[in-house]
Order: sequence, then C-alpha cells, then structure tokens
Amino acid sequence: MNNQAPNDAVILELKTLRERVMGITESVVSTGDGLLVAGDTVAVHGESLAALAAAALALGSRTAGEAGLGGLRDVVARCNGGHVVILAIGNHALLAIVGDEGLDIAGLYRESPASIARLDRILTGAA
Amino acid sequence: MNSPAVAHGPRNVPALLMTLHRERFTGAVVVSGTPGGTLHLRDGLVVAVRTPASPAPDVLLLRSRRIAEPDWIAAGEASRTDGPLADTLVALGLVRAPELSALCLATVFDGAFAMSLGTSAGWQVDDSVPAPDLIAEPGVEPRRLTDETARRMLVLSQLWGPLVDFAATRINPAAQPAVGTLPVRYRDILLGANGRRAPRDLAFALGRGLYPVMLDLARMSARRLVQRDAPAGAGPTPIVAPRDFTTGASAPPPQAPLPRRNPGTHAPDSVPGAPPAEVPGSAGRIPTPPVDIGARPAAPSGDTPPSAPPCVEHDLRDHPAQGEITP
Repeated sequence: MNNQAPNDAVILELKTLRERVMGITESVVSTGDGLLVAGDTVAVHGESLAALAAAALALGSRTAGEAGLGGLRDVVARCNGGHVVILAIGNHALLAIVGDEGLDIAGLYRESPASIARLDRILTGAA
Repeated sequence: MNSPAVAHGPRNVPALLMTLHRERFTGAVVVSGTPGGTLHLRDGLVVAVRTPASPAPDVLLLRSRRIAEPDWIAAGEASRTDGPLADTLVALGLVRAPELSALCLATVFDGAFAMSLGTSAGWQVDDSVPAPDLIAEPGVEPRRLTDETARRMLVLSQLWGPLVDFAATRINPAAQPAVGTLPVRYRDILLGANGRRAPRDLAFALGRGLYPVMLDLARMSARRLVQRDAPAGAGPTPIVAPRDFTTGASAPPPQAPLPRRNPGTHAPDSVPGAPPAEVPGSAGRIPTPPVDIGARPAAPSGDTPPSAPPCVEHDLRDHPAQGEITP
C-alpha cells in the first residue's frame, strides 16, 4: 500500500472512517485477545476499550454459537448516550467503534467492509 | 409499502412532500443518501424528521440535561401502560407540554435543514413506518418547511460561505479566545470544539439543534473565536501504541504487525486517569452538492423574521425566559 508504519496506516484508516460515517466519535483496533494496536480516541481509554471489546466480541461469538445462529457478524451496544459497535477484522483482530446517538448505522455498514478489508491487509502485512 | 406519489413523478423531495400534502398522506418518506433520513407525515403534514445529521428530541432533552437519564427511563417504562411518551413526560412533570411541543417542532425544521446539507440518492414512500414517540402536532406544511430551510441556508451562507464546506469543517477554538464576557452558548461551543468535531458533532455533544449551533459558529468565526480548519500538525498525538503508564510515553512501535499476549506474563498496569490521547482534525469530508429538500435561497431576508418558527435558533438551556425550556 505505502511505506507508512502499520500503526500510522491504522490511524489513518480510523480517521478516514470517522470522516466518512456521521456520528463516529472514537475507535480502536485491538488484537483478538484485547491488546490495543492503535486508536483514534480523545475521551475513552483506548487500552480498556480494546480489552472490553475483545471480551464482548468473544462473548457474542460464543453466545451466537450456543444459540445455533452461526457465525457472529458484529456486536452492537445501544446505549442512552450512543452506540458501541464491534466488528471482527479477520480472525485475529477487531475494530471497536464508539458513536453518538445519531450514529449513521446504515452508513457504517456501508463503509465498514472496505475499512475492515484495508485494516486486515495492514495488520497482516499484506498491504 | 405504498408509493402513491412516485407515479406522479415528483422531481425532488420538496415536490414529493407537496404531492403527499395534497393527498393527505400518512406515513414516512425514507430518503437514502448521505446521511439520509426519514420524514414522517400525518394527514400530509410533516410531524417529525429523523436523520443522523441533527439531534432528535430525546437527544436534546437528555444531552441538555433537561431530563435526567433515570427519569427518561422511568418515563419510557411508564408510557408502556400509561399512554404516549409525550403525555407521560408531561404527566410526570419532566417537561411542560408547550415546551415539548416547541421542541418537537424545532427538530422538524432542524432535521429538514440538516438533510438539505447532505446528498440524496433517492427516496421511498412507506405508509407502514410508524411515527416516532415524540412528534410535532399537528405538523408542518411542506411549503413552510422548504421555505424555512431555504431561509436558513441563505442566512448561514451569507455569514459563512459554502454550507457544505461549513458542515464538514472541524472546529477548533481560536488560540486565546477571550471567554470572560462570552455568552454561555459560545463558551460551551469553545469547550466542545476539539478539532475533531464538525458542527453536527457539536450539536449532538451539546444537546442543541444543528442550525443554532452553526449560526453561533458563524458569528463566532466573525469574532475570531473559532478557527474554521484545524491547523496541520496541531493538537495532541493520537494513541498509536500501548502506553507506558509509568512514564506516560508511548511504547516503541511493535516489530510484528500485531502485539501478542503471553499468558501469565502480562501483569495489568493500573494507573487510572492516564491522559487520553487526542488527534487533531484532519481533512474534511469530500464536499458534495446539497440535497434539494429546500428551495434554493432566493432573496435576502432578515436573520430571524417574524415568520420564523419558534424554538429554533436558541440554546434550549440558555433562554428559558423565551418560553422554550425552563428548569
């Protein structure tokens, strides 16, 4: 893709996603076991969000499996003050997105697949 | 799904709304695009507009702290048995009926204005979409809605310039704004502006309508209280790696693409309150032509003509004396 360091490329991708989807306020990329890779954050604690998002994604996946619903697509937490959306990046990483009450969910689902694919390439060194 | 107006071939959303008004349509017009939104109609009048581009009544009530979150939850639960949410909010004394009515009316105008700043990819007319809990009754005639939207676009464009760029601008406070004598609204905006937030983000963060926030921003810009664009390289650096909590510095970039957790060797760090990293604003959204929800501005008009709808240009918290929201 380019000569950027992996974390810089991840940050750039997160900022681009924030610019393209109305309502995204912060986001982090984490490993599947909850270690922060990089974050576009201002108020949330990136390491904590990364760890909790990994736990939530794993719990959602196990719950979906227990219920016989197949693979997990994403985890969405609807809160009184906004949203948290957690999306898997391949099998070893995840993207956690924090949005306000007006988060453009449709826009997020429209834009996120391409972002996820780019992040996957960055993280696996395939860029 | 019912699309009576599509057969008549309206050329844009305002024309569609006029047609639906003549037909006394009840249902919704779902506009796709960026960001899109939904206009709810009852008997041909627009009773609600919901879009990601402007705060809905519940956001205004909660973010402005006009209603506390526990009270809001209690009202929601009570409304399941006691009737409509609006009536429950009033019955519980959380808001007065005229205030709530004015608030809902304001969000109709604000939502239409916000949608006019985006792009529309099309629409669907659907009479099966239920109306939101909080609506403006009896509703707004489409002509009045489009006229007011055009007026707002004209006012703001005269103050700021191209509105699509304005909507995408990340706002930074000026270097050393003299905040001592500023209105509370301006101070709140300065506190909320961090180089990441566009006007729409500030509106949500502050619990105010988009148009009043943009109006304040335009006036603040004229007074050099805010910067229109984030200077390149300004602002704190974002998190790019797990921090060393003992020094506050970021750890060196990992050699491998992903960090690895080694079970039994990763003792949790525990320094609460470590300063979060921030990122400066970056390039704005790609400018796009506006949705044609309102007629184009035609002639200059006053900033707030007598015909302007109520409760649309003021901070709901800061002007209780104007009969909008009182504690």
